[in-house]
Amino acid sequence: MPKKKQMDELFDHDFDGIQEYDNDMPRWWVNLFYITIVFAFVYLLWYHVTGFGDSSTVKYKKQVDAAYTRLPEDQGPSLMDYVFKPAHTVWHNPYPEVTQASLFSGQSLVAEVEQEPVDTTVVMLTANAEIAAGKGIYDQYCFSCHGRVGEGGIGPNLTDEYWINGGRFADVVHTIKKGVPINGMIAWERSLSPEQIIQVASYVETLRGTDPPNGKAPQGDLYAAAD
Amino acid sequence: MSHSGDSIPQGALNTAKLETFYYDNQIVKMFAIASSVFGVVGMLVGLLAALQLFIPELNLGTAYTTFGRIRPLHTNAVIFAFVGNAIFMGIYHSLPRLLKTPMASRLLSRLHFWGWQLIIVSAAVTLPLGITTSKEYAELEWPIDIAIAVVWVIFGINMLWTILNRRERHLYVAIWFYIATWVTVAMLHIVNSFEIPVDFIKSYSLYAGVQDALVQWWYGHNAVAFFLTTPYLGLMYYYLPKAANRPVYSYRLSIIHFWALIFIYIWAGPHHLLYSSLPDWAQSLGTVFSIMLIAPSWGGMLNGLLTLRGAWDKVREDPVLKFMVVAVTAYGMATLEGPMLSLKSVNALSHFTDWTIAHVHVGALGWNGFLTFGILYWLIPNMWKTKLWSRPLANFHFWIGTLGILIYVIPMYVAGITQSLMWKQFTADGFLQYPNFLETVLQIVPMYVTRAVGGGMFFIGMFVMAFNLIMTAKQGSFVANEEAQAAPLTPEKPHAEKEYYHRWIEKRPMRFLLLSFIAVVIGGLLEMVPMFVIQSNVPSISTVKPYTPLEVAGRDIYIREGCVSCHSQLVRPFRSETERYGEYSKSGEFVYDHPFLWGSKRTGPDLHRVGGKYPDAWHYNHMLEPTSMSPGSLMPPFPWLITDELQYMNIGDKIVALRRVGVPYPEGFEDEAETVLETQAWEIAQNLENQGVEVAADREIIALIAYLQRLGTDIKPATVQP
Repeated sequence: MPKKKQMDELFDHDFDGIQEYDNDMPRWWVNLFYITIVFAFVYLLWYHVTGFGDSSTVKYKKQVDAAYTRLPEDQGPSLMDYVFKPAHTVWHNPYPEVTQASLFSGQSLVAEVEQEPVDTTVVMLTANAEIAAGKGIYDQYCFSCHGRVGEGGIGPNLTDEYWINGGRFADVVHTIKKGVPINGMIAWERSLSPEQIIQVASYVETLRGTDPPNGKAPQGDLYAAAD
Repeated sequence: MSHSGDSIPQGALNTAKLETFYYDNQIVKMFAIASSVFGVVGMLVGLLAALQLFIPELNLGTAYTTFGRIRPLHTNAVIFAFVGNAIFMGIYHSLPRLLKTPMASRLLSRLHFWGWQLIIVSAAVTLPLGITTSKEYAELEWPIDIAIAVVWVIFGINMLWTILNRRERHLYVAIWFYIATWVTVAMLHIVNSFEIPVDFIKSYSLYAGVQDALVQWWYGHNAVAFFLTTPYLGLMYYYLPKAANRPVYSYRLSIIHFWALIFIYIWAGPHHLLYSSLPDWAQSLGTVFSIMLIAPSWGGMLNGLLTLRGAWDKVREDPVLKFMVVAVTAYGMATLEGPMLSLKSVNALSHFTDWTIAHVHVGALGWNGFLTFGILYWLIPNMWKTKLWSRPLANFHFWIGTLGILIYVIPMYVAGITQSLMWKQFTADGFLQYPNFLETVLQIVPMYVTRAVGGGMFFIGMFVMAFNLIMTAKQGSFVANEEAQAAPLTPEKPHAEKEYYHRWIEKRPMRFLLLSFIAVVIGGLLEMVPMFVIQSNVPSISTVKPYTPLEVAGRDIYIREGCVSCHSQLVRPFRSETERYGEYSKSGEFVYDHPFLWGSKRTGPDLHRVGGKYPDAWHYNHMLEPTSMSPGSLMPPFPWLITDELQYMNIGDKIVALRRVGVPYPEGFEDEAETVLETQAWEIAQNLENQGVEVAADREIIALIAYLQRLGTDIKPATVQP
């Protein structure tokens, strides 16, 4: 490419009156372009050829597990891994073994919850401030299924003496913590702290026997508070 | 140095052989009117959508006017009706003048015009009816897709034929951009629209899950590149030097930034899928090619702004140039911001938030909007042989438009960053600070209000312009056929000197077309072919099964209602997301998703792991009246899902169509699909009754609940968590 010596030299062509200068490209612009190209190569080398950079999955594992140690298969795949792999047709069917029967199994695929023993050592809170805090949590998260005052709705009535998953205070805490996914009860341990769970369970305890109007019919087993 | 040789200065020779011909201004006028009218309509619909986000009542209680259907109507109207017609207006005006020949065929011009308007009208009818593929900016169903392809080919023939008729040997840079636009949009549209019809108004994408996502964002990103960017750069290269009466700053810059832009742009699509289950190597290509796009994009901005050197006094006076300067500056800002958003660490913050909305509106309102306005303010007086009716009104439009853009985008940046930080905030105890998604939405409602004010200001500006231009037209007299003269092309004489290297291709339009096609096809091929043929890119999961017939029906309702406009189905591998939603999404989970429904914006929470999270009755109540389950919710109610019967006569056809795109339903299953559907529907209705909700099993809500309860349940957390 011939180098020009002065600015704003016109080409002798024009298009509908529009002329063009034979100016050099701005030097900083050219350098910017080179820098971004270098960046691209370094980036790809870093993450995909040398394996120095973490893949999204490894980054995630490090984020959730402080005791994370790198396993050999955690290495991000290198670009070369993709070059000589056996190819197959675009529209292949990865699961030819799917049968008609397996199409009915939608419901059974719901996650199973690991069994964890009920912690019977928890004690109900009684201080007004704790109950009020529990009510605050209840009014935010629980009312939509269990009703404004625990009368029940989508979920069971919390004011009667019948309990589906156990009526001891410890059972209530456990149910809130772990949820009952098959019935749609959420496991709250991911959103609420242990203190908050005890607070809201304590508030639920105060609802027992309040017998609000429009109470939902009893569900579960009769629980005698005597023990 | 000398550039003599191929181009003979006009008038120096051949004056005797001048030919007289007439430019067709009528078609330019038609496209100008269509662009303005649809611009007003498209922005009005956008304003409605903006208001719906904080006044849910404005969903107006009908299916046709809910946000999920209004949003694609807005984007399609603005992109394809407002900008599309403006592109054609500019090309039909500038191309003949740059080539010294009228458009080749008046018939094709009119077929193009009316065909395009027919497509727009059919979009305006079908989208509110919920007839949609749900793929962003490609929502229109297959018959309209075919019509688009036909009209696009008509446009291409007309343009290339005109180029072959030319009286100017070389093609000016604007025309390079027009050619690249045409060939690339044709490729994008055709490849992304492969779908198998169920009937006249319903089809399933040929691609599934992560592959569909890659194709869709290859398309979606390059719709921005080759529909909103390259044709507008072409228009800028004609109208900006014309309006400023200045030579283009650097011909060499034009060459380099043109080829670099079209070659690199096509690779950058995967930056829409960062931290998704797209393989990391493809995500990285998206990132690095986006970074390499900065300079080629800025080349256009620089050539525009530097062309104005020595004309800044004019810029202060002339509304046309003011609009163009802001447009080019907005282009420069958006094309720096885009690559920044493609860095994974920035994207982790910005994606799924209103930051993206701010970004696209800098481009759409600033670049496309303002350049269109600048061209219209120049073109209308020019074609009506008069002066602009009111310069103060044009200045008013400029200021209210500029302020409107700022008042639109600044709150959206604030909203996006605020909400994203709230999503990610943990307490000292290690719990999400804002576990209730709604809390993070209500926090940014004031920003939504401000945004609507900014959008409203921009909209008022449009009206002022329309009035000003109508008055301009009234005081002038329209020249439908503008006379011009030029000498015909004569065979080229041998050169004494070596000509500039790029001049060679500039006089060979068909080879130019081929070369630009090669430039744009490489990136797509190198990204897509490995995704399709190499199995390890989508690791299979044996527990992932096809949807049941009722779930298929429910998924189609989800698509019809545009749920994807507000809800993603993609949990990213961040602690803040797995805590909120559950296990992060795996590519193997989406192998039967035709189309994919990952979404691009979370106005509501992610739904990929919503299956089994709430009881059936919760969903019933929530769809009937969202605020009953979630006080303060901005989601519109969907009561018609409960009153309308599910139409499932064609479920067998759907099964057949899905099998044809690769879902392994056994042979003969289509005959039993109806019974299987009814059985599952009855079970859900029973379950709802147990939870205190009486609803007939044949209602749409049952199918939607079936689909929602299935979402994300194919893998069990216990088996995949470390």
